Amino acid sequence: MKTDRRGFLKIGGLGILGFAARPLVDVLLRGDLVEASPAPDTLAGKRWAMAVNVSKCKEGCRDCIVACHSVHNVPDLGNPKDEVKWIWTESYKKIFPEQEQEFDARGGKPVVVLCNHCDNPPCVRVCPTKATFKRSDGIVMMDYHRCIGCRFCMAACPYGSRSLNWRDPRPFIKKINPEFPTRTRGVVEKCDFCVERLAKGLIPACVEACKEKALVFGNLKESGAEIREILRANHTIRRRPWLGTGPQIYYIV
Amino acid sequence: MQLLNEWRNTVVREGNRVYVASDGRKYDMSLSRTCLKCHVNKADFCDKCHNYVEVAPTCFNCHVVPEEKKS
Repeated sequence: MKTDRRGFLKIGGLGILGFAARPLVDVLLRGDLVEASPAPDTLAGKRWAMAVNVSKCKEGCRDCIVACHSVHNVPDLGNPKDEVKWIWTESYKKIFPEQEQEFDARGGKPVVVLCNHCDNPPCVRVCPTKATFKRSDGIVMMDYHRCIGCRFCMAACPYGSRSLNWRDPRPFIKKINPEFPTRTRGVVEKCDFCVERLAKGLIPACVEACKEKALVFGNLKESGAEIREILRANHTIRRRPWLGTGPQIYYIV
Repeated sequence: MQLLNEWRNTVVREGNRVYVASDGRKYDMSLSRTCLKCHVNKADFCDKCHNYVEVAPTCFNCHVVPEEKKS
């Protein structure tokens, strides 16, 4: 067989193309494989979330707030300017803006609010030291060791879930829980969904303290979980979902 | 200090709280609950060396020193 220059280049070119196509074929084939879902006992196999049944919540009751703040050594500084809070109440129309109407009796009703442990947390995106980060089980957590107190996260959080320690909090804690560290001056803090209790197999302190069972906590990735049933059967709303943060505290109002 | 830094990173950032020692024994990675449970006296266990080399780690600005037993 006689090969001229033109024929040789054609064959060579096709050969090279074939090598180039190989990785592409590999990638396309891999896309068809089903990835194994993470085991339920690992962090990645969980997605913690909470449902708040506002109608069950008794007016004037502060059980969840007291429980949380005493377990986590949250100081009571006694003035709203320096206030440090992990869980607190806010009026209905303030936390669900544009969803209230004049004659709604719930308008002024206080509703429990805490960190929303967003799917797409803006506080994590802005933190310059990566002190705030999202764990694979969805909890937006703080590494207090790394926090430099720049308060970018406080500006970024649309829910006001974060507080800065303007002063040394220790003298303002009524009874220090030795099981949990306090914070120091110049550090931001917020709700951490009780990671230290979850690690021991306990539910968050606020959920445990609620006698009315208005707070339900659970793993969204577990198909039979109580929280899944609640979210399936009820109409729930979230705080400012249009911001795209994907909040994971669901309210039944 | 190196061990404590490692423990801190694994507990806080990876959520893993159990340390498996070379002999297979397991420990809860915690400064106040594990280290200071046996080394009950912070003045002897921490401060002695820190004072000598004149460093002031800030661990106990936040972490709580468990009640010291009088020895």
